[in-house]
Amino acid sequence: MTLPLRLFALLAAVYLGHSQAAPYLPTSADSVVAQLPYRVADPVDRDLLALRRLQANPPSDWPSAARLAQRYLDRARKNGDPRYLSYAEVVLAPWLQRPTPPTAAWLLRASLRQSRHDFAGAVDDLRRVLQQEPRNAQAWLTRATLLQVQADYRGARQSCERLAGLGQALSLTVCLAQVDSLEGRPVAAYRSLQPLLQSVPEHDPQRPWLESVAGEIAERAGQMAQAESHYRRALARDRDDSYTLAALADLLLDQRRPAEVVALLSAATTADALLLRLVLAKARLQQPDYPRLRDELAARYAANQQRGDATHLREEARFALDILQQPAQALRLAERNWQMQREPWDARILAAARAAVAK
Amino acid sequence: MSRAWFWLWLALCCGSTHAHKPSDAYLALSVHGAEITAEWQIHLRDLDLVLGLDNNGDGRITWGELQARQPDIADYALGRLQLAAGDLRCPANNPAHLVDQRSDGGYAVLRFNALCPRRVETLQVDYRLLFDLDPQHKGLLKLIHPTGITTHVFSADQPRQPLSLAQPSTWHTLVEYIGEGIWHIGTGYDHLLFLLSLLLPVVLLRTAGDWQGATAWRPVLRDAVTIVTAFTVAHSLTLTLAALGTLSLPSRWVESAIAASVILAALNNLYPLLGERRWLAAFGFGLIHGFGFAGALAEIGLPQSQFLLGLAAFNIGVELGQLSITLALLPVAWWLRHSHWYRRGVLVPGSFAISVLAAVWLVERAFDVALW
Repeated sequence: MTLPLRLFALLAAVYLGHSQAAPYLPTSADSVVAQLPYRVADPVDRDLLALRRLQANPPSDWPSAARLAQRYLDRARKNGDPRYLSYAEVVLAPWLQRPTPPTAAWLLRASLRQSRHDFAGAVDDLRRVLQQEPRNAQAWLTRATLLQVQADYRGARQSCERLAGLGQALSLTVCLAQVDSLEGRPVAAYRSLQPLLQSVPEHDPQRPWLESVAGEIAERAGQMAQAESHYRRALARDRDDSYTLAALADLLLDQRRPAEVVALLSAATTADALLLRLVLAKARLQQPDYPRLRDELAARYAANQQRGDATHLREEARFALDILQQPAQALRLAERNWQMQREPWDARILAAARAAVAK
Repeated sequence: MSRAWFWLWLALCCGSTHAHKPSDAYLALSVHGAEITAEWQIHLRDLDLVLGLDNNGDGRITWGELQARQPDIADYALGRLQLAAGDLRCPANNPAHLVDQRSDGGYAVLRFNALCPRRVETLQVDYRLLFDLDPQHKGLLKLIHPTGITTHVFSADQPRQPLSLAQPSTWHTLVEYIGEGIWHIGTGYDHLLFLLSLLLPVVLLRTAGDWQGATAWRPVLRDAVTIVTAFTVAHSLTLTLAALGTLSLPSRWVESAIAASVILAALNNLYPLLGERRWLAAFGFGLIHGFGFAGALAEIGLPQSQFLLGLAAFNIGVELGQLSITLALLPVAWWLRHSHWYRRGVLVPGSFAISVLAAVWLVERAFDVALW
């Protein structure tokens, strides 16, 4: 082989482009090379570990499989770790391939698909559930949420109304309030939540969800102070709720309070969505670690693009518009995002990108 | 395209905070001719899921725990990756294990080589790591070859993909094979010594039992040109015929015959065995040397689509190398032709030494032994 070509191959092999640090040989047998995401002291983790050993021998009875899948989904939602969604998928797969799968399997997969932003697929699974169990409140509520994301407000309202007579007064009221707020009646929607906010006890497990939704509706009604206090109350009960954290961060950013965003999110660099808000805040404040965090976020988005992952296009569009100042790129991303979801924020970023390109 | 490059450029710098990413593995394959050099990075969480690496259950994997399972890791991973040049399998071997730390945690790094039965033009990759436990796992492959780098994604939906290596440009193939030709004549000592033996006496005249420096340069030049041209024409002919597959001879025989030709050419300077028309010897033995070049070229391999170009370029390279050596040698020989030292020191003992060396080669090649 000629030397220049050999050199090229060597250099090319060295420049892998994937690595951020070079592979190395640890010097001591005790040096830690990986941290696993479970804590032995945590009972839920221990349970998961035991259940995970069943991966090799998947549960042969549906109740165990359902429990394991639900645990995985909860864990995925709690810490935003997509691997758990895949593990749930593997547990559910053999049950869904049977000629008559258990109805709950469809429901679990709908939840999984929702987490993956496969809204159309989730609606399809819910249709199957509701064919078997027309009185499944969870399914109707989830369906209402999914249709709202797709901006099918009429369908969402119909799904909400099916909750009537199922003993789900709280869910019915909240569901309808959400649709109302999206259809241009946020003040009335917020008012309709007041009785609930007063009657539902503080320790009720649904209270944080109620506060979070109330915050969103208050924001749409222009009542920012109220919205903020709702978000903060929701977070007081559940510090790790990344959805509410993101909503509060967006509100603070809109009100030009980036320092509070930094205080809120400084520890939360795991979820990409939260890192975006943190980077936006640090950009406004011109903090010294802003470039490093910005580059890290860009690397994560690049990794998404590399693996063909299209679930974070809204955030990527915001990043392109507000941080990178690339309106054309932002518009492309926003338009692709719009094909998949049509929540108010999706409309907002699309409009902002269009305006920026038109300048 | 520019968009992708922009993201990639930004991806060069990263912090070390852990992040929750989906399961990705990074496979870099560097293909050169028929050899593949590979580096595969697999997240330790994923390997722990499959193999259970955390021996003491403390939620951390140490280097010691990882080392204990390295054979299993290699078996598991290499058992789920198949590389083939077209439909000929390229078996993987020599696995080496390291570790890498990325923004989302620790990765096991598996380095290995794969040797294909022939030069790779389309690399058939069958990737099935982890799909049975994580259907969202993606294998991010980076294919590196002399004319470029391409990236490919392997998923449960697309585990098997043919990757065609970019067609090298005409210029690139030309340069590559001319280079190979020059290299092979430059390191082909048997060919060089054969030519040297024939050319050394070109500047001399054989008088009764002795050598004398030639007086006129034209006959010398004509002589040299004739010998070199005869050699060139002969080996080009057989190189082409052998490369095209029209003629073939067993390589052991060819190599031994080449060694024998060097002996004869060298001894001819001591006793006139071949007669005055050394160019005939150059031609005759040149035919055999051509088979030797063909063998070397077969080891490199010629691209199917640019076969004739590569062959011609290789031949040109051999001629260029040969020509430059001849052009370097002749003036020196001419200048030294009258010196006693040239006639008595270089020619006679030198030729003798060459013939001894060639005899050693002959024995080694004919009997497949190593004498030193």
